[in-house]
Amino acid sequence: MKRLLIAAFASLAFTALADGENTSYSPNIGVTEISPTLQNTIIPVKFTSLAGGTERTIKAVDLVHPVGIPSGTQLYVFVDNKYEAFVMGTNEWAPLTTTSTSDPSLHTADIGQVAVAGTALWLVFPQAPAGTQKVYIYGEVVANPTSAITAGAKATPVSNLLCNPTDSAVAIGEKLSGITLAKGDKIIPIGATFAGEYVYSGSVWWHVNPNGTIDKENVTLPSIPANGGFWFVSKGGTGAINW
Amino acid sequence: MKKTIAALFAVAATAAFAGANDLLIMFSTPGVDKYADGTTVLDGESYALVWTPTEGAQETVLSVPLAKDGKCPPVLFVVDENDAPKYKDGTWGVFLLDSRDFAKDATGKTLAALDESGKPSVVNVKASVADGLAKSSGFASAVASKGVSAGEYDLEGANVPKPVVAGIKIVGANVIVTVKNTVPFVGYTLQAGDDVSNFAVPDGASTEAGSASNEINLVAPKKDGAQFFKVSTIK
Repeated sequence: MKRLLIAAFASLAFTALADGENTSYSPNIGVTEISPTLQNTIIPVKFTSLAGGTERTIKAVDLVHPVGIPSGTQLYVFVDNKYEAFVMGTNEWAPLTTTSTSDPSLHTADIGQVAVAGTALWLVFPQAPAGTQKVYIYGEVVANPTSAITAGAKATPVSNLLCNPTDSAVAIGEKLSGITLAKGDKIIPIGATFAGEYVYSGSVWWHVNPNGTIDKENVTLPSIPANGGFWFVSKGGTGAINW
Repeated sequence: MKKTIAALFAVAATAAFAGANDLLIMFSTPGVDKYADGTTVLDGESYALVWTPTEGAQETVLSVPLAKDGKCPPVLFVVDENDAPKYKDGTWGVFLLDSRDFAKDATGKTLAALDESGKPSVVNVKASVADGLAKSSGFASAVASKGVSAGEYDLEGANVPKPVVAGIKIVGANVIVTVKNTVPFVGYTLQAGDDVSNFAVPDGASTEAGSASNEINLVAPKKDGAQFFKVSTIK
């Protein structure tokens, strides 16, 4: 019997397989390095959880790796029209307790708070980085990234903090085919190169200055830079941006 | 004695757009934070976000009863954009409150900063905030760089409870009077007189700060013959 066993193991010796021939692959994993220079930085949610599954989510504290992030840095997830906040302690994110004029009851963020792919987070340093600051985000690469809009209404608009999860600038106006727009919807790009906001008139987009005056009617929406953030304030607009 | 409270911080505001036009103020202290009487802040004491308008009375907008181990852990105050119109032309500040439950006065009202609904409010504040946050939206940091102290209190109009003599004894050449029902930010001394119609603070009489939880002892020289005493607060 001993000889038979040896023969059986010999038959299991591995031979190199050509790619594609009975080869299995893990999902694609991504690590992105962001080099912020400002005190407040947009973090794109362009990955989902390494645990897999069908939900396009990842725990916010898992997305942003603690390494190199100074103590006191805050991480803000915008969900259900309010912020869930975390603060960096000693190499570990901790939930912040929040009180708001709209809801004075104390609320502590859930350490398991997820961020949905296609949305964006705020990272706020104790002060603007003095030297080179690196922020690493990582997770499972999202195939066919989208940014879903949570719809609001005229009287009760809903703000959506979204991102361009791709690695190239995108003309946002070319990506709205999946959205049914409503009059009053707004797109507010985030970044020093932008000013004011874009408001949907019902047929065209207007650019409105920061002081609320109308700059121009019937404008072309700007490009959102790679990994850049923007607000979509819905007054009825619904759907998703397909990047 | 008129005393005032000052805000705890000078804020370096940021300029970025926060989103939804909310104002988000993160606050914390490294400790040790103290009440006006120098004692360490108790667990559960409140820190309050206070609005000081250019004209008008201060308003306690939000408060968090989160003091722990003598300091305030990181907390986030959020002023919703829909409430922003109420807060123009003024500054924000964060105050350490003193909401200890002191002995009540004759009306049953505590001196410490609890309003009718039992929520902490700023104690007798009349001073304007020297350095405050004028930002109306965005992220702001109000993190204190060192332990903070509750400002002194403006006692004008405050109902200081009547002190109660708990005991009296003679030790050597002195009379020692034990007093309860005192409050820590008020000073106390003994007045003495040969009769009940004429009191004054005698030479050698001690002065002591009140205590939130303990009795205090006041000392005055003993004279021969009859002597009358009463405890008085010092202003």
